[in-house]
Amino acid sequence: MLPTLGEKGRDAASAYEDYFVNMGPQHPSTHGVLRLVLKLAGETVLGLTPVIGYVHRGIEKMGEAMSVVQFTHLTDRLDYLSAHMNNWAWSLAVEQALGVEVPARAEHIRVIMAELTRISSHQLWWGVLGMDLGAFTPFLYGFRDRERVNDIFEKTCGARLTMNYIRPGGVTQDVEEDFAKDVRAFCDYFEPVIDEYETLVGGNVIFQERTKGIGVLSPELARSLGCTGPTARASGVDYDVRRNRPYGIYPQLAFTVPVLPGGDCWARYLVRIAEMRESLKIIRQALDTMPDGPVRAKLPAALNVPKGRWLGRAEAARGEIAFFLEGNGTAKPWRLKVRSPNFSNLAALPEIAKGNRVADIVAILSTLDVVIPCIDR
Amino acid sequence: MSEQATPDTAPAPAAAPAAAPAPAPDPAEIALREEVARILGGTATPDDAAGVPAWRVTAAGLSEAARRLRAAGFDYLLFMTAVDRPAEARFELVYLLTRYDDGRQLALVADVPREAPEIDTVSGIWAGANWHERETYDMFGIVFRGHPFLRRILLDEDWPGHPLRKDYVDTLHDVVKRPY
Amino acid sequence: MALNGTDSTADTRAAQWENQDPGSQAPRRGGFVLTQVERVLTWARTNSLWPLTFGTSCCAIEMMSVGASRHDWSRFGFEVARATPRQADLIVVAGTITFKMATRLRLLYSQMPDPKWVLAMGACATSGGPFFYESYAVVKGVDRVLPVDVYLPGCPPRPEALLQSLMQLQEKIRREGSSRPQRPLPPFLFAHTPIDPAKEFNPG
Repeated sequence: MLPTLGEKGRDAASAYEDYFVNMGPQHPSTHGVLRLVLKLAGETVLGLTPVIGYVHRGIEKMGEAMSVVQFTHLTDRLDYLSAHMNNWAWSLAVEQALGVEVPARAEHIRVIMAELTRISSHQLWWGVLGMDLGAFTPFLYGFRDRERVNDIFEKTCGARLTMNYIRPGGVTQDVEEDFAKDVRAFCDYFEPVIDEYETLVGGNVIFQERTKGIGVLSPELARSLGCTGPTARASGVDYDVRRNRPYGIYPQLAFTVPVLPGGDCWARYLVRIAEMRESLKIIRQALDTMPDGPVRAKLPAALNVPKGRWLGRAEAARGEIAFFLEGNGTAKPWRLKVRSPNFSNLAALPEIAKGNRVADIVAILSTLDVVIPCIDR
Repeated sequence: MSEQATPDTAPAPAAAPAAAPAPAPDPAEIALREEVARILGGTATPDDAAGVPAWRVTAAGLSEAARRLRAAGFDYLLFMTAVDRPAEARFELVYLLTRYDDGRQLALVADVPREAPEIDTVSGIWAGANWHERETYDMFGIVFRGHPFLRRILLDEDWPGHPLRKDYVDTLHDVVKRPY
Repeated sequence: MALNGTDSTADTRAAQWENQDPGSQAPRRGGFVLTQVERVLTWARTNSLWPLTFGTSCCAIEMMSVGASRHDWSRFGFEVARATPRQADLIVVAGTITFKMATRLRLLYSQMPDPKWVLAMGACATSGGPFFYESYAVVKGVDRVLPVDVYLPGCPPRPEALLQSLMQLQEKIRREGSSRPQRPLPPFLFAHTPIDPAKEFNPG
């Protein structure tokens, strides 16, 4: 445990003038273009203000100028590491609005793709966490394994990163013949590798010292801010959209939701590692029960969004993503709002970084796992 | 959820979010409506638009309704945003409230006039409203009275205008309209 | 975003292309010894271009994939990816550039020491990409902000495409020489006045 700034230290700090330092927007460990205004007393953070908006692209305004199916390609580019889940949440909103039922085979494919994306996102998170804390090797291992998932995506969806595969009505095209074989091979390969991840990074004493007890997020603050995903589950908030408000075929699948009470960086780390294992379970179950059939339902010819408030919610890799769609009877939405999980998670950073050192901010930000384009939209 | 088909829709929009085929009234939704009607009492009127169950309050009555709902267990503010209705000279503020334990959702809707859009903040009730209200101020220009740090959050401080308004015209930034 | 002056967009784009015609650059002078030294320097520089890690959105992930082990870019000399512009020769603009970021990007570019090169990676950096239509906040191409040497289309481009564009940049440097004078910046009519961080700090 690192010594925290005790009473004596605080008095010494107050003898000096507080000063402000900018961290970002160009910084190796701010996970994108995020600027943090730090109020420091020496190395200790007295306060922190995130400044966002450096990659605000106006996606919500753009959505008012295109049809609901055309908008799907922009949903990938929000939190691009959970691209399939963003597509899915948007498809849920549109399917509610247009009254479309998704065929069963498409539901199974959606679940497999979403869980593969969750694993791939956590692989990248794990690699970048190691890199942020000073170890470059986890980055290489994480990307090596992530490339295998990218190969599966490339064979089926045609793209590695912004796939635009899950669309309102189902998925764009059926999976190819080797899909089940490839996915099972990946699951069999990756299951022991998670143990390797745990030994390599989690078993390292320096890593444990840098993450245990750092950046504690209380469950009350997490609920009040609307934090979701592994960040909230590591603070004891037992909420997962897949279980609390299920969609797709999740009600038929058996999986546990890892929840830990600690709230520190170490708990957030453990929750994500456990989630990777749960995702492998879900993928195997979905593959075993996958039926045959069509993969895309027919949408009405005129994609008029009826008047009303439509909300599609899904569990992205970082929390709950939701799309709020308000129509006025024409093909273009009247208002389209993206509820970003990272927006609410980052709002916790000012509170939980206080009292820690500058180097701990990197650990906290890395375990909060924020993707800035999702915050900025 | 409301089952009325509005005149613009294709036949029978599906009701439940898990894409259930038959639009039968969901008993859990009915229970939610009764519970919320009990909590809010006369301060709110149910809104009959399709989609998420919604209740309308006046701008002045928003804080009280929000406080009652928070006390009744709606601890998760999913988001807070505004919808511009220039034809009716108002902004419609939408607060999407839900619960962590069972995920039941409702929308609390309040109108503010377009000329002087002001409403009390709810950042004392849900801490997450702080940033959502800053974003709504940034995009629409709605002022939240009592907000501790009401500044633009996504755009630069000196950005002219509020982009998500329907009458926003941008002459500086070379906006290209979609030709198709 | 404060506007520095008004100018017609079409005229500025034509002017910026004229200024950047490589044929109009001053020819290299200096006799036999200096030319040989120049050749050695060019060889050294092309084979050890150190990129600045500047990724704003999705293309940054593909850039990271190129830095990882499958499509390793350190085979080509791009081993040392620095986060500080002071130690970088090449800026790979990977991701969407917004007006808010563009002014900061020019500052970063000016902090890089000469000689320096710019690679516009991805559709957003080339032309605005999927955000070309209807977006009020996206700069339609980083070549409105920085003088670009190589454009790489794709959304996101495959890692192999990034490697090819890096190799093309290396060929371009061999062709033009690495000790060329700094290319003029395109006229970008926005500026931001840096605010004292104490005023941006939220004490609440």
